[in-house]
Amino acid sequence: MAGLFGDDDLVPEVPREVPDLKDFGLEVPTHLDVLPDGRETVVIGDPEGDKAFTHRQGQNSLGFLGTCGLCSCENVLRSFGLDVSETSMVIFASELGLCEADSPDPAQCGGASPMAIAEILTRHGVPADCAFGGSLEELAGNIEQGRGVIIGVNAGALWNDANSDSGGPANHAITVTGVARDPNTGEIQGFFVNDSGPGRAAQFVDAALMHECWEEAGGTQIVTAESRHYGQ
Amino acid sequence: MSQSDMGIEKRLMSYGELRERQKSHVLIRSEVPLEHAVSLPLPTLAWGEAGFAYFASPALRRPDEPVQQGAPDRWWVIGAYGGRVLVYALCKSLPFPSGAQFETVTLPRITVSRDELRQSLKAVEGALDSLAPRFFAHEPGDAAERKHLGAMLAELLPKPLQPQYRALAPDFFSWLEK
Repeated sequence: MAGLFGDDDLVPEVPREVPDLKDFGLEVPTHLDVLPDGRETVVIGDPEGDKAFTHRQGQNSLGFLGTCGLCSCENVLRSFGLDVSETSMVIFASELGLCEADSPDPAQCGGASPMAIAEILTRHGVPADCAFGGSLEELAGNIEQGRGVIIGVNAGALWNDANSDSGGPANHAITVTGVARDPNTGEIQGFFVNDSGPGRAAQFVDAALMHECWEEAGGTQIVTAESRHYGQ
Repeated sequence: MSQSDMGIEKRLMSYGELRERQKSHVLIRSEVPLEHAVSLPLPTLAWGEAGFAYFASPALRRPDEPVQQGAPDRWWVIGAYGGRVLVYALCKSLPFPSGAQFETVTLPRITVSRDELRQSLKAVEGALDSLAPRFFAHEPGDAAERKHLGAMLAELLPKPLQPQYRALAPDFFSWLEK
């Protein structure tokens, strides 16, 4: 075989310049910041930018009020660049039987199961799956990979309100938009969430509270298979 | 050959185990909306074998506001031994066995802390763990224990929901109040 090929023949055809991952929108933004309690932090994700994707639930033409899961879908789909609204989510999910729409009282309608939430995202071209028993590190990893993440939390724990506790299971869906890590140790300090219940955007939830309201409630997360392109 | 012939005995699930399984049960994942209020499971013998019965209702929660809970729209029974689903029904297809109808209720404001609430729940779970095997075995159990559990349930379960619990597992309440 010697002599049949010159050195140049064996150089694989790869681009001379490796493109920056930013060119593909795969880099999740990070910045230094200070948490509400005064601690320094590295924020991974874009909680401020993602504020635009949320609002208080119940803003739909059908008058459905139990729409935290559907509002979370709206939030994730908008972060993936889709032009959707709570009304379009409600109509879509109702037509496909992916949310409750049978009650004569519209205020009682709009609820969706974790698997239905994943299916709503998937049917909009953003494949997603749901998983249970998640840990804070897994949750952070998903955000750091740029995935859209909806979690099932116990509203009583999140809001520190016994009225909404129901004994501790997941009973409310919210969207996770960022992770806060200690700049020196990398330890998770908490997460930023959009919560359509009270209509709070970029709310900081510290790690202990996230453990209580999410991990202890079953660690339910609906995660997109692909990463989003930031800045859309 | 039956499982017992093979020396396999299904184990009675503890209440804590039941509630832990509930967090990721396939039925909950796929069928029950996340926002729904899921009842405390109560023992029943109405479905061919020992089971724990649940109902779920749409619930509207807002921070620091009383919960608006709709009429139950589904109910199901999990086998007490092994945890298989024995029955699952939407109320519009198969109403509560008693045929009772319910309406949306406003739950009374909870005045205790979440910690106190969960302690009460744990106490009820402990009492149910102790008494459910007696109920499933058609034994009378200790009368004082039954009375105590009845009082705890009356205290823990919101008053507007007590008729729903009674309609779901009437056999258990009859036994408790014998």
